[in-house]
Amino acid sequence: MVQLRSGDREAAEELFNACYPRLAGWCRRLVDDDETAHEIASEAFTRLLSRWSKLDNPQSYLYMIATNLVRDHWRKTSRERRAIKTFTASTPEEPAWHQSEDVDVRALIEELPPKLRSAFLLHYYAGFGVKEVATMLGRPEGTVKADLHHARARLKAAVGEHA
Amino acid sequence: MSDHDPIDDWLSTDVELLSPVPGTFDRIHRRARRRKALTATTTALGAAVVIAAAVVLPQAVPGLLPGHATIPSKIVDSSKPSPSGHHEQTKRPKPPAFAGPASLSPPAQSSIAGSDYRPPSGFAATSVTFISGEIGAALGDATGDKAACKDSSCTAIAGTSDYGQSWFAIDAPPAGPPDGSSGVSQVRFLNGSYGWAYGPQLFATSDGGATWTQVEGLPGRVIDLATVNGRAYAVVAVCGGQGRDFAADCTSFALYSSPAGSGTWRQVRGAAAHLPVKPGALQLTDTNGYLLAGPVLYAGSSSGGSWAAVKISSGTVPSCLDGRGRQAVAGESGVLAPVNPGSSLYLSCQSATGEPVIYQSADGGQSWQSDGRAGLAGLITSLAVAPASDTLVAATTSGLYYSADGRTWHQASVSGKLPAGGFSFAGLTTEYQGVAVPAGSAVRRIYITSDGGQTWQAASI
Repeated sequence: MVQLRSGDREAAEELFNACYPRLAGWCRRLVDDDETAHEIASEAFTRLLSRWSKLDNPQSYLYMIATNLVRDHWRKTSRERRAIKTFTASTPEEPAWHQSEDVDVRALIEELPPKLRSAFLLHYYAGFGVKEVATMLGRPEGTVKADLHHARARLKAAVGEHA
Repeated sequence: MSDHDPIDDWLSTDVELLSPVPGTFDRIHRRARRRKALTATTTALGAAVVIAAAVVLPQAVPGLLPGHATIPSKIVDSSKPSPSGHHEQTKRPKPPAFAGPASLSPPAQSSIAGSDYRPPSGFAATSVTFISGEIGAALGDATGDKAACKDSSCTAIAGTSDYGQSWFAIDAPPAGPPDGSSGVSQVRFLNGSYGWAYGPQLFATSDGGATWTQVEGLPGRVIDLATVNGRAYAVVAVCGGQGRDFAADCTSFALYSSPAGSGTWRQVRGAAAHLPVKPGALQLTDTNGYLLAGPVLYAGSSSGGSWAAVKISSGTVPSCLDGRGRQAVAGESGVLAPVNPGSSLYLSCQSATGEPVIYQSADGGQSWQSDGRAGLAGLITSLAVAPASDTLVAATTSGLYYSADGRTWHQASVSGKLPAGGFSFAGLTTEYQGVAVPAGSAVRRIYITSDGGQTWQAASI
């Protein structure tokens, strides 16, 4: 683990070079947009560096912040989608455009309850162990395990509905 | 059911790396340094700057009642549709897309901690506030910037980390400029995180201005707001003013308070009346709070608890106050300036055409002394005392003045041509640093002092 020290720009740059591409790629996978992914990854690093000397596990912090920012982004785009849906519902003349018939896993994860979604993303997607996720989320390991189980079950059920 | 599990497929696909664009680390590093500096910043009193020149005319109409029951307010997500019956919430122009390398969209919002985006070119400030000798923010109208506002009116916020020498864009609440009971015109920050945009509507931020939520439920227009000790105090008034004069014709008021970040606003007991009140009437120090409403001075703790009207116990009664069986002189109004820390106060009393008289109190307004007319030209619009010194500055409709003791006043040197109509505000953030704002509803330049108010240099926003 990179040890952070106050004012240590070299270590910060080292961490940035090592983590940014994967973090930004992780964000892009979740938000499906390069520019937004860069914005989220940059903001996560900004928050990390502004707390430079106070963190034991910067990588966990990065992904935790990014998860929250992704959640905010989803919340915002969800509102926009609802608004568009409301608008288009009143103009039935235009034929609806359908995306791929494939199951949109990202959309399903987005619909998970926040408690399950954070654990799911951090464990299955960002690759953190159950113990680490429990520390990051401030929950007991058993609770995190149960959340992961419930998340998977919900997703499988959702896939069944969409199939 | 098929063996194909799209969840597993999705999870097992490797993340494709996304390389940063050149310069990303430098940009992030700069932003982080600014935010880190902000974290260490404590609240600076006397730094709030108000550009407000609304005329207040005493007029008795029903409104807030003294001892009005506490009306809980709530913070609502500004992006949600407003509930019916709240006509003040119907106008929600979109925030401007700031001129810059690219328009910002959440979640990478711009906060007082800094951004790489410039304020809109048509930005005209209506309020400036500083939380330290470096960091501050200005709220204003960006309606003139067609690129930023398109076809609607909108508000913009600019931040500075070098005491007004340069400015960057901060995300603004989704409100237009003041128009009767809607819009915002003023901004205050408690620190780098908590801030409020108000006048007459109220919005709050807990992330340095990156996101704003509207506060609803307060029974009137928010015409003044000040912050200290982790709290915000707001003067909620019933006013008849229209358009940009939202704080004109205010006939009754109630003081409300909210712990920063709580979203709960409660009425402060003992500070509500059928009295006229105007912007700038509320003044807070580390220990005390003061509110001048018509001819009555209210005071209380700035950390919570009840307030009460101050009774003048002995000595001189300032001409703009009621006291000891004597009514204020008709047509006289006052401007307050508390000394921080302590219970000392300065009060300027003046009629629309007369010379100002400045009074001093060492006991929170219970007794007053004065040396007579101060010799300042014009109508005093703002009075401020420097923290940790006896230096005072005054803004008038004729210029800027300074004094080392509140008795002897000198006209300050102002760079360039004096603004028409003089100044609406002068304040000192530190013993030496201060800001003055020309009169007018929207300005594109402010004046900065670095010698305790003796000389002022123009700075563009």
